[in-house]
Amino acid sequence: MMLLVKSQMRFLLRVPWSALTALVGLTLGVASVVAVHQISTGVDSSLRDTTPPHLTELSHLLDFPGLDTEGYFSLRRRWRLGEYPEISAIVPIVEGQAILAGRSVTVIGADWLALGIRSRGGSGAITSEGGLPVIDMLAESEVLAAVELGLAEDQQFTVNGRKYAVAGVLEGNLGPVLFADIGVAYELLQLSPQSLSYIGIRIKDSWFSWRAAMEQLMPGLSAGLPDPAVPEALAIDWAVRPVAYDLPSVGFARSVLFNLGALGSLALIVAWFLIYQVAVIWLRRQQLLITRLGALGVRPGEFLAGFLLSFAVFGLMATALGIALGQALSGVLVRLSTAGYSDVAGSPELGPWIVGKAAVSGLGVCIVGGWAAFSREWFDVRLRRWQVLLLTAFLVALIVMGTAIEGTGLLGGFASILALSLLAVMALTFLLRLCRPLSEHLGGRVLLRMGLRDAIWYPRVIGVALAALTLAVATSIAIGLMVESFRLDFVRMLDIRLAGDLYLRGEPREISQARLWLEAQPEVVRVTASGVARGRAGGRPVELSYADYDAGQMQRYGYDKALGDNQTLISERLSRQVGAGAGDLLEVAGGEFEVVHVFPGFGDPVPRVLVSLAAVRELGLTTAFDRLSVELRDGANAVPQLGGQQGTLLGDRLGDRFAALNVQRRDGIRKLALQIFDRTFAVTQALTLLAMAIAVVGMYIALTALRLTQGPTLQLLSFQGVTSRELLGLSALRSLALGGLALLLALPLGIVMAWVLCRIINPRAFGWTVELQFPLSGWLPPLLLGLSAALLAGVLPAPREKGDLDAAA
Amino acid sequence: MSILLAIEGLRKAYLDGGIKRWVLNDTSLTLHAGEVVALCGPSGSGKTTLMNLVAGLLEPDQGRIALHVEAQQLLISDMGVAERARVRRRHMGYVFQFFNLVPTLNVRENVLLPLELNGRSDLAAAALARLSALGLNSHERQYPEQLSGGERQRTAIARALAHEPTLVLADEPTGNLDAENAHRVVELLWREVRALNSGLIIATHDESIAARADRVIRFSQ
Ligand SMILES: Nc1ncnc2c1ncn2[C@@H]1O[C@H](COP(=O)(O)OP(=O)(O)OP(=O)(O)O)[C@@H](O)[C@H]1O
Ligand SMILES: [Mg+2]
Repeated sequence: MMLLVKSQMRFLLRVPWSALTALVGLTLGVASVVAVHQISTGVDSSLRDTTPPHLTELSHLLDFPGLDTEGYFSLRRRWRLGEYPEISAIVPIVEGQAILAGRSVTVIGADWLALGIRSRGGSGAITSEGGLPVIDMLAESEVLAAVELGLAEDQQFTVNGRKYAVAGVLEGNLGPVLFADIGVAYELLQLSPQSLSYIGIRIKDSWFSWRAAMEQLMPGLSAGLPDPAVPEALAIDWAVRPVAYDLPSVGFARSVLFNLGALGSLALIVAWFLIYQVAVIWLRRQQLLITRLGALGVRPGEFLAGFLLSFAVFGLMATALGIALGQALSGVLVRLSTAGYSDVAGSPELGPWIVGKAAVSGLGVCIVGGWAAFSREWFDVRLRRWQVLLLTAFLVALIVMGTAIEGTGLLGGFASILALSLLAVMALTFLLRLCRPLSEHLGGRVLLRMGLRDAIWYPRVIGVALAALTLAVATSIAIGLMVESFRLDFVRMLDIRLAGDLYLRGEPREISQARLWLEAQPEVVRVTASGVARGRAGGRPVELSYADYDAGQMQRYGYDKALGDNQTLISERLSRQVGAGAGDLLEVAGGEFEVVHVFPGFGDPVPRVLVSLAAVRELGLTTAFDRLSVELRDGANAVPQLGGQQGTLLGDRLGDRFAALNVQRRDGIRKLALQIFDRTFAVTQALTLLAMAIAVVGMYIALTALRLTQGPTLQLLSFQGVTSRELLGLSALRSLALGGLALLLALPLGIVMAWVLCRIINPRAFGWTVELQFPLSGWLPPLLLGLSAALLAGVLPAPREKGDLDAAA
Repeated sequence: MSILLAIEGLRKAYLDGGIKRWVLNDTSLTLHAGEVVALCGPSGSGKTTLMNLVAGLLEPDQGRIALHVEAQQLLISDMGVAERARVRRRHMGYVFQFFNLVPTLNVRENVLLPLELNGRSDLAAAALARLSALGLNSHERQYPEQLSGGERQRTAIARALAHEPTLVLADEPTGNLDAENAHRVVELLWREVRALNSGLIIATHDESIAARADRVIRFSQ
């Protein structure tokens, strides 16, 4: 046994070049997994800061129309009597808007003690399991303020004539929110102590903790899973919603993480193909040794153990290298794109999770790949016809279910992409086998014919690497098409939505002054004021935009009439969440509205609702315009012209006069939006490139092996007077034919994948559908890249290795 | 009889651990049209080296190799790599001990390979007739892996002669065959070379084959 291991280790040393290249490929695969995990944990920890403190410990929120404290007490009574054993905590919560220094802020009040925030010692300092900052127990008239409000710790402020103090400042993107004890919140909101917004509960079931564990393994995974089930007994009397509904931007970011995770695994899948191919090639090189050992009475299992042990050593090396490279890579990727999470640390320290994940990736790929190759080569394990049919049927069913059933979530979407890929790999094998008899009828010059025939003559040496290349190129095409289509949609949306030449934001008082001044300026055609309130629509938290929405304004959202007082426009995200479309009635902030149109809300993490100004006032919400959009004559004056007199430009005069206002020009907003867009997808594209690189390494190894087995043929041809230039041409032609075959399959596969991304995954992850388009820039670069990579892999020199001489001995 | 190949004062050494080891030292040889010369000698005595020099795959350290084709003298020893390849392609055929055939071409295509490389489709009918004469017409569509050793060597002979070369080089063409097949293959090779009035150099360890050559050149270690 030891001898067999030794012989395998020696074999590795005798094929240093292919071992090294395979190691490089596998290391890249592991590094991709490590980098994605590092980025994800970074994003994840900053997301945890984004979760409002009153929700960190909760799993569901309950309410019913007309909920008051009586409803809470009766629920609590029944719970204490043991009626809902799955519930471990119940918390009453009020939520509303108050005006603080002329600005609308959200006030959230909860019974902190009921949240299970543990009291520590006698000092009164409290902390929770959710990683909240350690804060003192909130005293009478004390609040916690989100950092966005710009209040300092211990600062005093006045609302409705009462003084309050800031006991602590909460970091993270919480929005303009104050958190207080429920009693203080009643005062702030001027509510009667009987009123209640909703009740939070914590349900601890195995599914819940299983999800948490999975989330550790792959951050963002829960975004891919369907929402947790609502306890049945509760659902009868109550409208129950998972806490995730109230954390739309967290859900948004988790979806991004899920997509990254899926792409990170792509590199690993390609690496698996690479290892499998390498294992097949090495086994073929050792065929003679294997038959001789067989003749000596060595059992297959014994040889396999030696073979796998040497692969395990190989996998461990790749793991160590991959962790190091992945750390560096995550730093580069984060710098490449902070994707809106500017506070993500580049390379967090190595945790047991990441080391374990890297080891499982590296070792797993090696062991499973080596084992699969061995059983195929030694036992000639091949799928029977009915097995192939069964597998095909299964994959097709998976695709249909994953795309058609919305409830399968992101996981369903990606499962169907994976199934598609597997089908394509099967189709490739089939195609290769189909091509062989066809190739016998090839015409044309003999060297040409040979090159083409070589390409499909050795499916075992080349087929798997080719499949990996196909997958990598197809994914690259899919991502390219999706991003380009998305970008086209996004640009179109920007061009329609950004009707003004100047955009102003600021304090409502100053905004109204600026509005008066602007309307008096000769170059101003029109000034539109709008404001945003937070509220709920169909139970979901939404951004409520209000303005004087006339027909001209509405056109920017794709609706051609003025907005009526009981009408509303909703974003696609909300439309999907609440299942309402044009013509449906929807409850918005307590009033009933008719949805007249659904607009795409690209880039808005929070679902949006547009209502008329009159309607907002009718609902009793405080209105305060905090933004203006200004249209100018010819639009020209907004942009400083070269040599123009700066002082006379409206934008500059405005800036001088209202220094506290934030003035942005249309071009500036547009540029910034596109910049953020491009950076968001930079990581995605970098990851597909990485997968492509691994695929190319695989192709290189396979083509090198092919060339080495063809040594005698090359010698023969050179004896026949074929020059070395013609031989190089033959190699190039062969790789081009192979690359062409891969691309022939990759293009349709990529297009179908892109369709799934645009039509299935994007809406599920982000809540909007992307119109699939086929700009050249989306599919041509990956195709050319794949083709030139295949060509390069075919003509790059490869040193001769001793392992091959063994085979000839 | 006209002179076909003239080798004079040929010297060739390999570097062996930094030391020059002479394999051929002042070798001379003249071959006439229609003549068969056998090279005999122990293993490692330089038979293959001489063939490779004639074919232009190796460059001599010293000496002259001239091939006479249609009243023209081609000085192989003075040519560059590309020109030597061209001469080989046009005027030489060869048969080896094994790996004679391109695995991805069938028997017919293997035989027609030199014609396609030279653009001489006019010789195709004759080449295919020769293939039949070698008893392979029923194997035309088969691939090398489907042939027996003897069939492969006969295909190799048909291929070596397809473009009707001036000179045929055969390096132990029967080394892999049993005695009966070996004699059959050699017989056929002889017959076809004579029919074309080409020259043949054959390296062999088999004295009975050597005995049938017009001339035997013996190599010593
Ligand atoms: N490329 C090379 N580099 C170094 N030495 C070589 C090389 N090719 C051949 N030799 C040496 O030159 C000598 C002659 O080799 P060659 O192949 O010509 O012998 P041979 O007569 O054909 O032998 P055999 O009957 O075994 O085929 C041998 O000692 C061999 O080791
Ligand atoms: Mg020899």
